[in-house]
Amino acid sequence: MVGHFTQGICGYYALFKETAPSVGSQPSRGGSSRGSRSHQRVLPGSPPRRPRPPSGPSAGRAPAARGGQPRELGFPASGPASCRAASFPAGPAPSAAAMGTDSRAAGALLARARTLHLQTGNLLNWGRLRKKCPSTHSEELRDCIQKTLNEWSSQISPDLVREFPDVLECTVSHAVEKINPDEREEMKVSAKLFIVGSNSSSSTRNAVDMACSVLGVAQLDSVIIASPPIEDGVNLSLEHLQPYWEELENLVQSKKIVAIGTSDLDKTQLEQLYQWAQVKPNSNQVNLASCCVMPPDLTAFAKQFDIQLLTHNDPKELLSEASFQEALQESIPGIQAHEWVPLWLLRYSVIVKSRGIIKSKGYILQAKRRGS
Amino acid sequence: MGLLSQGSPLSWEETQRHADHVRRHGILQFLHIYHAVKDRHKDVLKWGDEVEYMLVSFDHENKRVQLILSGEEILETLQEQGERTNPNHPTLWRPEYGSYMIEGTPGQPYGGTMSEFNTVEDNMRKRRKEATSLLEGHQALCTITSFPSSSICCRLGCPGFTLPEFKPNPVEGGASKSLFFPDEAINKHPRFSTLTRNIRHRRGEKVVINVPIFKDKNTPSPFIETFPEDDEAVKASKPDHIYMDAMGFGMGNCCLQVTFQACSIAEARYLYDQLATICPIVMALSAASPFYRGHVSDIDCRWGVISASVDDRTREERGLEPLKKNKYRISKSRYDSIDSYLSECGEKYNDIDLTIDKEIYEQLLREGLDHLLAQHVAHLFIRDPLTLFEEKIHLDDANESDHFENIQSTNWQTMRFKPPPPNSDIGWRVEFRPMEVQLTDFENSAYVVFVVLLTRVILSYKLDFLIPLSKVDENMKVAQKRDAVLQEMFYFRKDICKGGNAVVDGCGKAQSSTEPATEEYTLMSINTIINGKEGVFPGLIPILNSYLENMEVDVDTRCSILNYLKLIKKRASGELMTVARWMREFIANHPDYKQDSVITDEMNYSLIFKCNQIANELCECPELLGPAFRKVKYSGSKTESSN
Repeated sequence: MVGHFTQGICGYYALFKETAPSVGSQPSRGGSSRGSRSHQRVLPGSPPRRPRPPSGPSAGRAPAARGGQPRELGFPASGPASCRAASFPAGPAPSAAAMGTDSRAAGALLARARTLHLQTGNLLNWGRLRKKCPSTHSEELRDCIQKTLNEWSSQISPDLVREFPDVLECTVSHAVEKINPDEREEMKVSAKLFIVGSNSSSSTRNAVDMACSVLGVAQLDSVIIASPPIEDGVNLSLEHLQPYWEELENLVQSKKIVAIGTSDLDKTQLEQLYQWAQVKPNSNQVNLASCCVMPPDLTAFAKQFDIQLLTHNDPKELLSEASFQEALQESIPGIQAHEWVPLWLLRYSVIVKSRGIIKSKGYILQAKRRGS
Repeated sequence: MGLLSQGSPLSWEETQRHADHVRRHGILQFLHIYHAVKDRHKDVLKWGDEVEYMLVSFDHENKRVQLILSGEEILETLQEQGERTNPNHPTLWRPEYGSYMIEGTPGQPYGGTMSEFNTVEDNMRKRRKEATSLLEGHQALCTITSFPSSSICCRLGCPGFTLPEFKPNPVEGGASKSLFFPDEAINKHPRFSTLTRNIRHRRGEKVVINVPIFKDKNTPSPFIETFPEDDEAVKASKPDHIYMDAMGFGMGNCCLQVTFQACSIAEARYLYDQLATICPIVMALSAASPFYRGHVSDIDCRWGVISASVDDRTREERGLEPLKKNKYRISKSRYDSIDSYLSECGEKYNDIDLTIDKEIYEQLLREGLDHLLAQHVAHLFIRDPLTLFEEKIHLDDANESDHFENIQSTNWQTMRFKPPPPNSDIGWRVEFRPMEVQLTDFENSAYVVFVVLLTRVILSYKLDFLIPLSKVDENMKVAQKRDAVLQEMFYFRKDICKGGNAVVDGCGKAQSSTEPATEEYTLMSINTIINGKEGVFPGLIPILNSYLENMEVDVDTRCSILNYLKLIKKRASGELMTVARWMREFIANHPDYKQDSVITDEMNYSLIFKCNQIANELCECPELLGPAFRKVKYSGSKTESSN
């Protein structure tokens, strides 16, 4: 049952156009759509979106021609696929060449920059940019990162290349959407912050500042902090949370955030935080899987101190350093992806309060080049 | 059932004389409303459900169950103790067609926050409890779509299915003139009997309902019933069909409806169209009415039965005779699926011949309405008013809307587009009407919440389900068949992110670039439509889940929604039965059943008794509801209701 609920946001984009011809063109894979789906999971590489020739049978077979690339053999038929194709002459020529140019400029920029700001814009504006249908949040996120990189790298202006900026702003320009100030009152702007790497305390502030500026708002209505990553075998304790929480409290005091909350704390952890904190958590997210089997002590505590218990369906680790680097490598081949370390990731949503409608949803991410 | 005014109802001849007057002023009333509120926007989401109930009485000693003809008195008490005493009372009660029926709604509409989804079931429980508290120990409030045994042995002179018992009295001056359905079973408010009589008089004969019989091992073939004392019945009844002859067989059924307030007229039109395509799907999923007049039928849904039960078209209008006295050939009953989409992106899918009143259409265009809305209203207004009260002929068109509502509320279509009442703070609304009522508050909540969530998803993701309306009509026919949910295929749009209405970037462009235009729709099973199928369709429930993940939902609400969607998911996949399927199996396994498609009084008693036990959680029914569907939260009220 729970697996069913792990569907990422783009569950609603029908794949029909992209996958239907492919199933026919690859009978040797057993033809079952289930089969192609599992392949899709194995290989998260995503085809770039730029205009390309239709993915006819020849395109569908292209990966096989490349040989020695078992992962690509399994690529679902939605296209000839990963940017790596550029380095293989057997790949479909026009689009591969185009990608090569794009990613070369991007590669050059990334080689010189120190900071990367990646923002997806409003994913609801992505439309056909989204072809695949990832089944988990992690896959969705990775897909978003790659598409954003691809979009950005395909539109790098020559001016930018001459500038070699220190900070790269990587966006899907047509999807960027600020909140109309006249409508701000009707919206609830929420964010969840995922700390990825070992971290400076400024991450929290940077993330919130960027979210505000991306959305064109002065204040976020709610920010939930995901439990920061800790070593295996260690239990999350108050000390792990404190530095981030203090930062969040400052942001509440400076009116950048209205309310702050936590994720996946048990009763003891929540109680510790509550007693210590100056600005109390107003919500704690629990995993969807436990929403019908809530521990009574947590429910009772939350009720007593008026802490809202909300649900989420995020994995324990939404984005790892390794998966970010893989995404980067696939989108912009030839760069030193391992040098790039993601610091934080923020997911926001803008809801029309009185109508239960999602107005906007997106990711923002900051990465630094190691040693820079 | 719509408008209810007190007063002296006019006969059909008198009503007919005023038909043009009603239409003319109805249009003026509509125009007043339209001009006043067409630019209304930023209305919040409000919504509400309507559940219809039957009152039944068990005779445990003789193993009989009958419908209690006291809906009017119960309603009076409920209103007196409820809304008239306290304007914030949590429930509202309204009359329904049958004298054994009442309709309950929440006292206040629900709002746009997620936690309200968690109050629906509670409120339905309150309603059940409140009405049940007025009944005696051997009586019960049931949410069953069609009472299986209406007049089981009522071949004139047999005791009836009602309490008190009445013999049908098929005379011209009566309301139904039915061989089976006594006029006393019709609500005592004059509107209902007048409606019944006037439909019959307008039609020029009794209504004719022929439902195909389910051919079991011992069912006579051909299955023919004889009606020696009634020529009309002899002519109208068809072999291998269960013949019925009264409005009560249709309008005496119970339904489950949901109404939403849209933020603007444009959003209402968009939702009206989108949900119209969903109607057959959800109807098949909610199938709950396999039995009619004491027989097992071959259909699972009430829709066609109600449609025929209020079909007031004359022979000319039905195309059986050349047009002489009447103005139009009309292809559908007043109770049927919608005939035109209302939103701009729906226009190209309007492929059904639309009969309209041309003068009204021209008038509406002159008044500034667009083609689509004008033809919608001009289509509704091809119908005659069916009831009119002497005191309500001359109205203030600027401040009243009775004549408009007179026509509007007797166009019983799958969807209803509802303009705001005059001088009110209510916005443009859309009503979703195809669902069959379920046995339990849990199921009814699940269907209602599913539909409301679907509207939020449609609006958030700007989805587009539109297919040619003629295909939606084909779906409606298929959806009523026995076990359609598992056995039938439905036309559905393949790519739901591509509509003309969708402002999603890139939507609609892809088609021209890569692929030749193939059909935008294909045949899918309900399982595919609801749960998705890799490479074919993403599935409505996965989309709902992705929407839910982006909303802030508290754990209690999320748990309820989880259980609701689980029910829908499993009904679509066949893991759980529809009510119709479950009822069929109950009868098939009844020791008295002779595999002859006949439901005896005793079988009917066992069935309704079991339904009532399930509804009151006195027994489990995992094949219908899933194992342990009941969550801990309600354990309190569970004990109460079982006492």
